[in-house]
Amino acid sequence: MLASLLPSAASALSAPAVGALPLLAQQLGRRLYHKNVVEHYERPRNVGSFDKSDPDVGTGLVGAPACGDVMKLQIKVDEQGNIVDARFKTFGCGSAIASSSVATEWVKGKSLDEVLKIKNSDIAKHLSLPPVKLHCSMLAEDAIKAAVKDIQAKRTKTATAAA
Amino acid sequence: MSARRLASLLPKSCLELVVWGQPRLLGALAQSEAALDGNCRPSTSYSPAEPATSLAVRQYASRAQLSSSSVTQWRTAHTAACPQHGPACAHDHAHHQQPQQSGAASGAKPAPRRVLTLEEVEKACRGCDKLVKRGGLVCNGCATVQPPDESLSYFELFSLPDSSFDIDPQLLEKRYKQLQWNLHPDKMGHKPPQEREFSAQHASVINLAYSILKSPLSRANYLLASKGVNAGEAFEGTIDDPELLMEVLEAREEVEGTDDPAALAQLLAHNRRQQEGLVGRLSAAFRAGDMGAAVSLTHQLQYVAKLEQEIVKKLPQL
Repeated sequence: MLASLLPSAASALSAPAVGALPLLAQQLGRRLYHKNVVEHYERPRNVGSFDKSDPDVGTGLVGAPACGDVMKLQIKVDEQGNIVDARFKTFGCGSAIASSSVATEWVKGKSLDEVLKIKNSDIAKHLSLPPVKLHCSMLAEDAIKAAVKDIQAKRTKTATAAA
Repeated sequence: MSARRLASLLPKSCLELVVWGQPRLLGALAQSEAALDGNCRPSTSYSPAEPATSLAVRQYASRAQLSSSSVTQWRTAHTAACPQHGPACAHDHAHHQQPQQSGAASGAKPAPRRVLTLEEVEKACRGCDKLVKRGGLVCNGCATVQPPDESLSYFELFSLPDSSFDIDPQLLEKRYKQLQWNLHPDKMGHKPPQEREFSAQHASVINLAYSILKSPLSRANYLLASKGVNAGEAFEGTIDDPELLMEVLEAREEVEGTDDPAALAQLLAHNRRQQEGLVGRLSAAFRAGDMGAAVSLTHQLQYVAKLEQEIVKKLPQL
């Protein structure tokens, strides 16, 4: 009787269906990251740096003192004010890395005005961040804003210098 | 002479007489206790015919037959002198109620300290007819464990002189051990379940309080939070101080980029020196009451402490 029960129990444990994973995690009291977070954390997009002094590059550097995270997000902007490329470097938790990776993907091909409409709630929703990790997406939103502010300041500076 | 010494000098019978016979003097003693907090103001929780402190001093002086000059000295040292009428002033001036602000207080104002009520200063013991002083965990008379008092600050819990960033780590450790010794499970074996439960709750709060006060970073965070300043761990916002963040980013890149134990050890030594420097500046900021600087220094310390964690993670042998 016992022997007949064992194999089925073992197979159920060793090979759970993929859809049953969150349920299993819930039953075990563990919290799993959403697959989008894991995806961006394991294969982060656009990691790296541009030259900070390049007149076409805007750099946003923000930090969350509560967790000691720091995030650098850079955008490369063409003459028409469209973002052609983006890079990031983040020292922080998985959610912060995933948030900045998503942010660099989303800003590419958009205009400066458009990217200012990206809200942290959109990033958090895309990554299904839990409430304790919302500040990571906030960091990404603020990094975008800081980068835009930086390139706009650079542009007005060169414009006044030329005039 | 501290107010606690003063109270302890009174013969025990006197003290009991005081406690049971004269509610006004009870208030006076309570006030003397409050004076321990470095905050000598007349209590407003009852209406004395004369200020509580002077009443206490006069009664004590008549018992101990002290010369009036030493009484004046004691009073001068333990009460906030009235700027208009000197230390002997018995009026109910508004400035008696306000803690005097020292230094250039920029940023957030410290919240005015609440005057303790009599019930908060001394509570009736659960087990006998004695009174247990604020912060007392176990009754001196019958050794009954008292219920936890959530209104105690962590500084009060360890009877530290005042709620300041500069604490004596040895005193803190000594008080911590004393408290835990009083609550040792070996002493609780014969106690009723309710008291054992109280004892366990005390021990847990004391452990938490000790770990928070021990480290300068968490102590700064606790102090800022108790002053109602949004900073540190509770700070949910982001900062964009480019100088600090660039420094942090470069330091993190440096740590990430090396696997050489000697280089890491050097970085760790530099990091520890940096932390010491920040703690010194933080202490000066708290002393000056400059909360704006305290917040910014706490943020810096948070980053430097995080960097230390990262270095230590790469140095498993340390």
